[in-house]
Amino acid sequence: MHIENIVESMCIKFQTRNPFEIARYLNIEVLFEQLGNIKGYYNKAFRQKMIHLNQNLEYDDSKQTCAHELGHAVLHTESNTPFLRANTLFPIGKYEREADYFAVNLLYSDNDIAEYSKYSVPDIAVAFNLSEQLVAYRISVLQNRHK
Amino acid sequence: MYEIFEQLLKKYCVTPYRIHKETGVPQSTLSDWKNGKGTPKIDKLKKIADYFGVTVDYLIGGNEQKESAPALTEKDERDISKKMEETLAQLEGQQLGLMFDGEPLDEETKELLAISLKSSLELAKKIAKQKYTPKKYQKKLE
Repeated sequence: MHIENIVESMCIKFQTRNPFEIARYLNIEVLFEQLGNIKGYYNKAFRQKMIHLNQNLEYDDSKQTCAHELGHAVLHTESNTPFLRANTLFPIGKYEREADYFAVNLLYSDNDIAEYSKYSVPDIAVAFNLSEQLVAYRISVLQNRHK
Repeated sequence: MYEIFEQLLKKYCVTPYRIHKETGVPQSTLSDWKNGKGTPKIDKLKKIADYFGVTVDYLIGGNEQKESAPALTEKDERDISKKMEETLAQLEGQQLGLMFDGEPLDEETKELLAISLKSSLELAKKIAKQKYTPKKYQKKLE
């Protein structure tokens, strides 16, 4: 199953796109902590999943990070300690990329993207504070769905 | 009073409207509460407290304690420190990978991370203990 479909079915099930709420429905503890340079991370210990977020983040940033970590929690349940580094523009490896895809699919619905469709990819990237690669991916998802 | 409610709203990132939708407490009650025109009656407070999974006592500024978590035994402490070492070792392994991008973690972040990991493991152990201990063994723990 593709990531976008997993996200959509979750949004329909829980009737929300708010990553914090979804985490609550999934019984994942979301903790705000001092984390220095790290934005957040996901871990699982003793069968309990947890998302840790840096308490110094702005609301939008923490929402984005939470969505990313939620991606880890849903897609890579067993992989412990994958960290989101200070710079999200260059995610490393397959897991980080998948978590990023999960996050953009969750945070921006098809309608959000369709609204901006007359703008160019770099413009949208700036508006949403995302990397161009992610925006291009999100748009391709939208186009595939309409086929 | 309302401040605690506001903190809970922020923590779970929900709006008063959503509370109204989910619990059936009128929005006017919530806005009256906010503006100091009165406090919700006990039945409504109960609904709100249930929604957040806290006690009414906590909501009106009482005890911090949500529910009594089982205390950790010596064996649990051992489990935690074992898991901690494991995780840190994993982390060190990953560090080498991360170094390639020229962005190693600084010492301060590392320390904070270790603290956060420790506390998270303790919390996880407590939750797991409550959740996964079969009922017939639960009394022994107390």
